[in-house]
Amino acid sequence: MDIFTGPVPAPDFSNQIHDFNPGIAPSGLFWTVAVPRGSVEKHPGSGEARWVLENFAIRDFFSVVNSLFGPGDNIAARVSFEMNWLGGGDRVAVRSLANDFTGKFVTGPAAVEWSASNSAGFTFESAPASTSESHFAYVGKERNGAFF
Amino acid sequence: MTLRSLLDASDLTPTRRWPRPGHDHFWQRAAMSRRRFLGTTAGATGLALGAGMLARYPALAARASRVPKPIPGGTVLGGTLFHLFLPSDPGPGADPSVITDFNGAVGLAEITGRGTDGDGDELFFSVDNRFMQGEFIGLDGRHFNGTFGFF
Repeated sequence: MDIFTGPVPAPDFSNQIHDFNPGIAPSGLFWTVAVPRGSVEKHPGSGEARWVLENFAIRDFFSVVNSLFGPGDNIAARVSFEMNWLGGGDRVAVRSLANDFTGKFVTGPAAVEWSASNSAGFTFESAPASTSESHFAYVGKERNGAFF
Repeated sequence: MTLRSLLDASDLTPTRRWPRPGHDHFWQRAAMSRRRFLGTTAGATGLALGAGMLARYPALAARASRVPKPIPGGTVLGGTLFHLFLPSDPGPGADPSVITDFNGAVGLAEITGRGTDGDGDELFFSVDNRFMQGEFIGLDGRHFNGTFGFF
């Protein structure tokens, strides 16, 4: 969850001022942590879902470049958000031998309204979800790896 | 949008220092190294402990085993393989899950927008969040059910 001083990332990302993510685990698991089961309501058949987290502990790495390539300085942060997937788009079945996964997905617009803070006193509050712009969004069911 | 932009980035060297308001002693505590930070995570536990130690401490082993494994493939950014596929429309080249040995529901969304900081100054955001909910095989080979968020 990234914050910039301009509408698009600068070529060297110098206009990014916050990057909220949980870090990369030594295993390589990328920016992913367990979240409460009840935070997700999903309907893979229709492509609809709702994901709500309140005051969720995370880290602020300030920049994706710092997060990915170091030095990796980060501080404690919290995020709250409500994301909604509306579904109603294309139904897409995918089977990839190259990447060992198969799934059925339903596309459609998504929207988010969120806020963040870090231990240095920074706070952020997004505009209402209705003003956000969805670029890619879908919900579905998939199997990969040993389940492929 | 952020990660995708990295594919075209010509210079990935940060050109500004991180903003560091507050007292120096705070930053001395807060700016822990990435290695130290990651060393405190559950994921680190699962990898750092040998099988023998896990066998002697079953409770620790149970906690570590609930750690999912990353997908083996992914995207090369700046010459390094990161275990995720960039957000895109559904397709064979883009597993939305970042967890392998996974069977369940997924949601992916890349969204941009605007907001304000505590001073009322306008800022811009890019969010690529995903959820994964279902069965997975943990680091120890056992099956679990869980819910995970990618931020």
